[in-house]
Amino acid sequence: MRDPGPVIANAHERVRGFYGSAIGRSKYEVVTPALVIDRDVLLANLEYMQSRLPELHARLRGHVKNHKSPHVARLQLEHGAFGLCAATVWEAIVMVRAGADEVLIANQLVNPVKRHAAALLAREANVTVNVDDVGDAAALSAAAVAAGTTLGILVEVDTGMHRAGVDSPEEALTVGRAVQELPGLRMDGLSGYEGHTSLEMDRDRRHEKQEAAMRYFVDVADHLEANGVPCPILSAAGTATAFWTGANPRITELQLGSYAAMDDYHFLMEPRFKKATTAVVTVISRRRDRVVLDLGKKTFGSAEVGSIAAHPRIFGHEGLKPYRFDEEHATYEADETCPLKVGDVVDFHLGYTPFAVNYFDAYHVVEDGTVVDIWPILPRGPLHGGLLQLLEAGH
Amino acid sequence: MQDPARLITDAHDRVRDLYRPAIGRSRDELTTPTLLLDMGTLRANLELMEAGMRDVPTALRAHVKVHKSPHIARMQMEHGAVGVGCATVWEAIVMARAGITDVFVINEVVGREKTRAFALLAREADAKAAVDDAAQVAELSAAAVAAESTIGVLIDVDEGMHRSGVTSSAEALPLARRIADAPGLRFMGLTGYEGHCSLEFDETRRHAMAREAMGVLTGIADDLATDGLPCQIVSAAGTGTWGVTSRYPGVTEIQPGSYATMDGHHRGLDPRFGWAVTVLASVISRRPDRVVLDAGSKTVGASHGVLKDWDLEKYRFDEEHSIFLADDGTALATGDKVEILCNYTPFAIGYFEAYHVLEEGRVVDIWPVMPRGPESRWLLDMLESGD
Repeated sequence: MRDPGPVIANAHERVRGFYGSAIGRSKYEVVTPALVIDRDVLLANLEYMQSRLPELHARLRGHVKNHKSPHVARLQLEHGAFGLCAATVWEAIVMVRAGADEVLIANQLVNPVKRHAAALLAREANVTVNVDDVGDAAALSAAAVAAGTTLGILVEVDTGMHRAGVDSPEEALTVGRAVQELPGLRMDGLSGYEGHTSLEMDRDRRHEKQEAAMRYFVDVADHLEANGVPCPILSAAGTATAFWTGANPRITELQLGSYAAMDDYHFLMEPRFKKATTAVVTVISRRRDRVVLDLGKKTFGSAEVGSIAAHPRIFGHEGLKPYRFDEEHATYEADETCPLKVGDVVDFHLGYTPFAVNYFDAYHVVEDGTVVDIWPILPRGPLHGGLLQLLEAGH
Repeated sequence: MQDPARLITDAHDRVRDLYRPAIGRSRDELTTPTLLLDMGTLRANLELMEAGMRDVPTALRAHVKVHKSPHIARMQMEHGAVGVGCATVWEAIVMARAGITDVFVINEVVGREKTRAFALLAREADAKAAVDDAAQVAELSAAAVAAESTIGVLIDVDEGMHRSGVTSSAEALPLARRIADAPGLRFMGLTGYEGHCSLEFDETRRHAMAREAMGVLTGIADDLATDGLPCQIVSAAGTGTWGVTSRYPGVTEIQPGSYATMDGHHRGLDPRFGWAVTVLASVISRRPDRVVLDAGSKTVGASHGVLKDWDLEKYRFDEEHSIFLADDGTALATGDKVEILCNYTPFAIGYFEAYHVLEEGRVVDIWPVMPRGPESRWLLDMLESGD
């Protein structure tokens, strides 16, 4: 791992400038709502994952879309991850500048500016991209040739998630052959995230779905290899399936991410990882029958993942029933036996952390309840925020 | 309205520099996902509200939490608004620096640093906040005294929304007296957003609910006046109820915001206002039975959306993808651009740092989203340094 580049150091300095007055203080003294990451819990999660790697066949490629933190990404690399996985090209740029040598954009780029960015990034690191379309592959090839680089390609296979990805072994072979022949591209293998299994809360049913998905995925790989398209990489898995998929002798790498920072949604499926990311919030109104907090859906995002409740709630008061979530307020039913009062600062379970993370600038990093650092969220939001110019300028 | 301060012009310059290559381009040439603001529709919405306010006895206070744009807020002021409503103290600081002197945080401001920021803001603007609790009155008063400023205070009334707010004159009276007696505070009146009515799509029922809510609000105002605490301001209404509430006797101002930018939820309540803000996305995967777009829940936000010009059923929203069912009869291919009409635009806007501003399909400017996200403590540092 290389040292982090100036874009990371500058972002770190910027948020420390904004929120650094909290350092050394109790997390309950920060301005709320604030996003908090507990460093000890984070490290325990990373160490647990690392301790399990020797028994797994597959290697760990740490996904970063969940936390969007160059600092957490570096810790993933220090704890057994050989490379990183990103959902967008902007995340990939940040993570390469954070020091990663290997990054997979487990997604289709399609847009010409994004293809151009990935091709430029391949000057600095081994960059791999998912494709499910021959036209997209051809355009990626042209972008790589123009930049004088080589992009690794994984053909995305729909293993049951019904998002992107080719639908059949035959289609995978067609795309794989096209990739093999295109200049500037290197046919690396297949990507087949079984994300539909993470929408299945029942452990046994999830395991059945996971096995079916990986059986199909391996069949697709067999078909390509039998027809002259080697697949050295088979990449799959999320936090809810990592230990099953990782034990499959054909799967070469795992692309899980939530294991590091965790959230309530993933905790329902994989409680061996603990919640490192929470918020601190303030009670801003206390009525006879309810409490109102200073965060809402413009802070924690959605209270559901698909149709599954992600359970945003107050630590120590988990039994309080949500009354309604508005933009800037979360309201819970609470009678007079509940001791919460106006001005109380409390810990909050965010539910599904990625939605929340994307609204924030920074994490308040906490050890034993005291703020020890401020880490930037980078990239934040859907736009590139200047990363494109940075890449083009070569600094 | 004053000229915008450096905080705003710097933010504008910054995003214009970041996204300059888009200026002059057509919608279909943009990098996606991106947030679009159609100027023609925005102006029409603002003009419609301005015209609607001409023959009613109330003033328009434009809420800015919806768009978080100093530029849109200034246009709202140019179209008849007397001031702005905000959800947070950080929004109020930004809007004051945008040149708007009358800023009202229609929310409880709780916590030492937020109240300090608010008291400092009151040095440079006519800053008002809502309260529903005696402890908060004491905290605001102490902050105002320390900052040598005066804060306008309105009592938050719960007229049926069941969020914050007092529910009776018996609760409001001692609170109003406490505000009137507190150094550094000025009692201004009542605020009571009838947000529960905006969850009712039947217009007749919604209007009846709004009238009932206004009965509660103005009833409390009458009781306060009888007790020698007249309300200079009685503020209420959102885009779903402004027609009724703006005519209700005893209400002095309305506080809608969504009318400017709009979304699916609010068009269900008042379809006279058009979609000014959309999310532009690209088809990044085209399967036999569906299209996959590069904008998901981490772009569009919690309430998702539908497609403009394409009547397709939603299959699922993932973090970075939205998926719509589309068979071979739908002429969408990989790389095509589509606009997502958000069901609730504020969730999308909260994720973005800028709007791509379009006139007749071409980008003419980039406007910052400000303040962005839940935490903006640095704005307090700015106020303290006197910058």
